[in-house]
Amino acid sequence: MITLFHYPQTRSSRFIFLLEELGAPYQIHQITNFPGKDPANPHPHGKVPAIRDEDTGEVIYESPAIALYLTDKFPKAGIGPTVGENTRGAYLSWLVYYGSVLEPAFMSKFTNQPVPRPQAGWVDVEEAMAHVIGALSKGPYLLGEKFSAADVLYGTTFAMFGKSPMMPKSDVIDLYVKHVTERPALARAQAKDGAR
Amino acid sequence: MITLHHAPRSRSSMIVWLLEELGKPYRIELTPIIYGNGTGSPAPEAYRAIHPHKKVPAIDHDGVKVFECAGIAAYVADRFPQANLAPKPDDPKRGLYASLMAYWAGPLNAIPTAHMGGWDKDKPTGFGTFDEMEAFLEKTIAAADPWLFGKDFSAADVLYAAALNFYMMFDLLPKKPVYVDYAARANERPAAKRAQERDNG
Repeated sequence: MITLFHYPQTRSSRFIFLLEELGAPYQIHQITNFPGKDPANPHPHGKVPAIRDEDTGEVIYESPAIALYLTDKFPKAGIGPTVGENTRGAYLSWLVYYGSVLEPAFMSKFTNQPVPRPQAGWVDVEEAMAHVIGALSKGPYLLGEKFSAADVLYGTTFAMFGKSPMMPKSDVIDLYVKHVTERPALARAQAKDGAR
Repeated sequence: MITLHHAPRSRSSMIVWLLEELGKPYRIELTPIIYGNGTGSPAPEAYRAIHPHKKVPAIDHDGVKVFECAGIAAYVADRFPQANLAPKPDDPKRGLYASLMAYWAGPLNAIPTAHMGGWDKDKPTGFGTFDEMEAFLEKTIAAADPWLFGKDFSAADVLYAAALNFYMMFDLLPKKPVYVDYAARANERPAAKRAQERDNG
């Protein structure tokens, strides 16, 4: 049993989507006092998402780590390449890239901060999105034919930004967002997301 | 066979260390990069096929390509479990391992850079503040006994020790005894010393 520490319509919402995709047994613990500290929330900075694996008591935080942990624990759903599969390398690269490049790139743009390249570990949104669009042009998903938990992270991010001026315009991204957001698991997740 | 695309004295140096800890044969392919201080030269455009932003590190393991330090570390440690560089999937420390790897790549990677520019605000950057990150880091490193997951040195220890070395060198982190002691312990490992010798290729 997985407990998801969640606050409606935040970064934790897409983990309901992922848990639905996995068909994993889970419960949602909606935290109070967000943003802020809820003593029940095991996240070291009081943020969401965090999960607790009730089978072992383990706590996991940071979106790429949660995605990897869950697809490794529930491999039957086939949405995370396992160790030894050829796409495992690309899968890990995309998961880490989400946290280390894509999010900081959007943060830099959102706060109008130039990316101090080459010192920074990330690049600007335009260069990052060129890489993403290049991969999705072969698509339809980041790993090619197969949908994965990486698409849960990227697809929901691009859906959230929608037509924001932060996002470079791209038919490839529009089609990708359509593919990801049409999945039945997302509709089920949205019904469980809750209101603020 | 693993090929590492590497530039001396760069982020890829920690992957040389990781591969020395792994103990498998590997080869180094040197790649020009622009360094943080502006020296160096850009990689040729063809290198984008290996790394989309012409950075290092990137590896190729029998045709499987991986980039991003934490991605490479996670890949290698799981792919060669006999090297014992990661808690196994059924180990109760696996969750902390995954969390610390992603924390390294996300907040620990971005916040010191943001802090230099004075934009490590709690909102809306989402990373949180430098002080909050540093308090978590201190607690994490202080708990290492002697390594992050106990007696077995891990791929995450390579990443954290390398980051501490780098951040303390450039005064991006205070030289607290807890950081200095942990980094010194890690730097004394034979694999760390071999890596320094191989860093130039």
